[in-house]
Amino acid sequence: MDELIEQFAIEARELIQQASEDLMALEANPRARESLESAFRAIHTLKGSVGLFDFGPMAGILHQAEDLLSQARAGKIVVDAALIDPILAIIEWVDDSIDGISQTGGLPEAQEKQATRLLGILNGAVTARDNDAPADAPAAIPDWALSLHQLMSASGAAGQMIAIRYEPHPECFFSGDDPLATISSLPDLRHLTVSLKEPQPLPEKFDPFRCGLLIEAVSGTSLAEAEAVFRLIPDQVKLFVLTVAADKRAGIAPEPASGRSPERQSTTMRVDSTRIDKLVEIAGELVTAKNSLVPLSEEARNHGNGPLAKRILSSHHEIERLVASLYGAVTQARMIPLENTFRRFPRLVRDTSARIGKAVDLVIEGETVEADREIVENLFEPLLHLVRNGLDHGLEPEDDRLKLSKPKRGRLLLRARQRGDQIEIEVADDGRGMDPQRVRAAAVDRGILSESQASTLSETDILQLVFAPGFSTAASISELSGRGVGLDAVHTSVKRLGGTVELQSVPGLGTSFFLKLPISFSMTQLMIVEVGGERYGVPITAIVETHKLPLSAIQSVRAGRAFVLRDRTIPLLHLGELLQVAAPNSQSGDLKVLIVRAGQEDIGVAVDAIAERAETLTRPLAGLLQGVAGIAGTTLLGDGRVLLVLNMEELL
Amino acid sequence: MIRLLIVEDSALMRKLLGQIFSAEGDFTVEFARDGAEALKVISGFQPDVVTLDIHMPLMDGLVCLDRIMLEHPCPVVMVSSLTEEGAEETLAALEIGAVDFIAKPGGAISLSIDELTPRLVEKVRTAATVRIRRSRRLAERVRLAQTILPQQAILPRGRRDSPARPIRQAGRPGIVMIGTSTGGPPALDAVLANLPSGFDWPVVVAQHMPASFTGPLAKRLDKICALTVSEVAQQTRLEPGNIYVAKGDADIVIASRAGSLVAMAAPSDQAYRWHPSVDRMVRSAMKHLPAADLVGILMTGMGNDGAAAMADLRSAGGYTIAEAEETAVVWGMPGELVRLGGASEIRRVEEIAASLMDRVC
Amino acid sequence: MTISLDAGAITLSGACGVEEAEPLMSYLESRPDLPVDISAATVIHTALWQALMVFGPEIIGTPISSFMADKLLPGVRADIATRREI
Repeated sequence: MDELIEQFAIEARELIQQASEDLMALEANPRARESLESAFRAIHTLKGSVGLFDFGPMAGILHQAEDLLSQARAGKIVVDAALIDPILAIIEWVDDSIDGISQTGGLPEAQEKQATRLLGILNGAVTARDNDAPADAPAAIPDWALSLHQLMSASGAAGQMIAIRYEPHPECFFSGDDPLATISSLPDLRHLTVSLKEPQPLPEKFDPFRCGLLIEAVSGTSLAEAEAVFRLIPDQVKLFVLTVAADKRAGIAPEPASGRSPERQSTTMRVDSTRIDKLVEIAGELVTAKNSLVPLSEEARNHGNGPLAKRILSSHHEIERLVASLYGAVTQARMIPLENTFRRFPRLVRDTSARIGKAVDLVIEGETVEADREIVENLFEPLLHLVRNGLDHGLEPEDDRLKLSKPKRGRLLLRARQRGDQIEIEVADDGRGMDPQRVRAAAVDRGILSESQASTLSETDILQLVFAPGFSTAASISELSGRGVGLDAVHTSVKRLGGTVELQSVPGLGTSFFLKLPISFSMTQLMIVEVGGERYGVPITAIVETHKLPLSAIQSVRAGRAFVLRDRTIPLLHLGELLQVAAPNSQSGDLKVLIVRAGQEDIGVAVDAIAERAETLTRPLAGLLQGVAGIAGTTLLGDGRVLLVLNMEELL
Repeated sequence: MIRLLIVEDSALMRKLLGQIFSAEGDFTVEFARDGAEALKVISGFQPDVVTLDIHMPLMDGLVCLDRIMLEHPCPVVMVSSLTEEGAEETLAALEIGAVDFIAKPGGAISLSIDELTPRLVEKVRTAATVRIRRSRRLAERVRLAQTILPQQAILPRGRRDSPARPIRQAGRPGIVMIGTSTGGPPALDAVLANLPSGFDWPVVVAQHMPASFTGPLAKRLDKICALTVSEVAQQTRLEPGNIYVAKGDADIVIASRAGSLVAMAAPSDQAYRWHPSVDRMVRSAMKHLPAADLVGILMTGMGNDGAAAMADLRSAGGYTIAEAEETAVVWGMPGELVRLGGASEIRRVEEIAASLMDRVC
Repeated sequence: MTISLDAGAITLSGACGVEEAEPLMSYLESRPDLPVDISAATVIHTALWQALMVFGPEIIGTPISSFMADKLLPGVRADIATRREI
């Protein structure tokens, strides 16, 4: 694609040059037929090239410009300043956009914003010629909206609403439209009427593939949202903002909202991220709230009301589906491109490389890959660490590189890729790489593992030791390994985001770090347990099974306790002790035990009580709790309480 | 290796098409910037196939095509825009001798290029295998013959009944359905222009084409045919003496409504690969009419659309004609019908009209 | 088969796309006496709703989708009923 964009830029500049020369010649001599032909051809070809890409409104604008010139060619309109000036303005705009296009591959936002102004100028060129150009009459309340208004106010509704009149094009089914499906995607639909435009069609004349419907609706959503729903078919839809007062005497706010008003055309809007977070929170709570329907249905069944139980279950399924899609939509709203983080690096790398005297080319790829805002924003620190390390320690000084017959300029790669529901970010340098033997020696030296342990590890595994806490404290290590400071910090922050980091390195060729992160925070199935009067969530994936254990089955084994399950001895721990919140429950009776897998072995974890299961949204820790080991995150319960979600592996 | 000459005035399009075909691995690609250059390159390069932009400065695509067909006949695929103007020019090009056409890619190419490439490559590959015959100008010759001997076509021909033909119940009108794809427009000229105004079965044509092309196609056919030709954009009652061209990029469905036969345009069903789908047309007609009242004709075209449905039509008692390999530009669809044993008879394109009249009149 | 002619009803089931409009219409035309059961349909394309409104059969069953059941169906039923009276 890049090559094509490059080619586009070259060709577009030539065409722009050609067209402006022709237009200026035309200005001097409006009868210069060849100039008109040539300008037309240049704009035509330019439009064709632009049409190959997705440059937003540019193709449409050029199409209109071409249309004007084509009318001039046919002698339908006069060649004068009113024709030439707008087209020159368009060309200038395209010219200004090309630099941005060749850098980013797309139409820069600032340029895109001018599109409506330019369309206005072009339409001016057209309407100035129409004698009966419609004056901007004050928008009267259209009859159709009036009746919807009466309807809503009669129903006792109040507030601001959007009245919608949607008259689908007769051939809309052929463009793949499903008008009622479109209507169903409107949030907060308060009213819907579907009628046949021809009230008594003769069934034998009826063509089932032509749409003859008229749809009227009222939605409590915002105008922007409603416009977004109909963004592909603005010509078939009329929107009007109704202000329905509880008091029937109040009128309608004369707020015209024709789908064509230019400032309303944008379908994106800025939203304070805390509002979206609030939505995510509510979605999370809804998930929990809907879980309560299952016990309710069980209760109904126990009372002998099977049909009611069934109905509750089926509405549970419906709510479950809706909540899942709500959750999906809200998570989607939190997604931002990695560009937000990546774009800070070019300057940073340029400054650093100038400072340390190493010439570096930074290559950034995949900046359009999206992930949850929290993940994208929290990635900056670890990435900065890795990039700095690459610059400082990975890349050799120029002289060394030349001796090794490497290119003089070092190369740093920052690349993101989407892999399923994960993103993979690679930070790679083509520097000196790491020698596994030296890492092994240093790890043993620092007491991170014993000589014998070290000798059993593969070279790849050895390299991962650089992430171990305490590995990189010594300054000498950064010299011998070419890597150093605080890689464990990178490891920790990536892990906190629910990700992993790995490294590959070939001595002499360079080092690559691979960060794998979730795209967004996902739903987790939790088992809720009680200890010392507090409730905690344990991810169900961590639990092998649950067990009731008579106290008599517990045996003391050296310092600890254990029990036998299916001929295996399983150590027993108490969650209260692990969390240092409560002493083991000394009361008699059965002990409730979660069997949890830790590494290769199963461990029993006793709790006071096992409560319900819940499906929730777990968010990584922030603030004070951030450093606490054994806690994976928090989740909100339906009643507003915060539930700590445990990380069993870390606890044990 | 397939020797491909790309004639394009836009450097960007040259680059794009060049990349697409170079990536295939078995194409040797040459470029020409305009018609004059193309003619120069062709004699030396001897391409197996040419893609030709219909809009070019200096020498226009159509003029260039005409020169190619006269001086160095070789398969040409036109690159045209999807506008109505583009449709007229493309149909003219097909008549002059272009094998096929591709629509200029547009829109967000980064998104659509993967989708577009296979069809583009398939079309050019197929075109490269086509033998350009003298008969490329068949339609004009047929029309010429018609103007010289205007009466002949209307004269009833001697019946050539064979035992293979099921006997149709007289007096009940049936439907003729024609399916074509690559190379179709000139073949349609050749068949439909030879049907007399008294032909008493409605004819429904499914020619694979974009939406903006079928209207102009119907208009062109209407000018040269004794029968009235129109495009089916909405539900239309099928009447004798008429030829109905299915709307492009959509499907056509034949049904019986309140005792009369109708055809209606239907949104293209993604269960079928090509549109208007010949298979869907034939199968819908079979639901509403006895097979004996249906005649299916499958002519030149890539792929196999229509073959399965027409084979079923034949085994249900309907009558089918496949265009012979010697005259089909691409013997894909009719070839498949023959392979399936679904062709009641196999005819050269210039014989099909007569054969049809034996059957219907 | 998303549209079928069962004993006593024309039944829509699963996702009924636009291409089903023609078969539905054929059934509606040939069996005006039968009701249409939409309780098993998950998606019903606008073209099918339109055909139902034109032919005005009795519509029975509650669709799974709440949009269809609460927002669309009552209006469509009322529309059919009023036009029958005329």
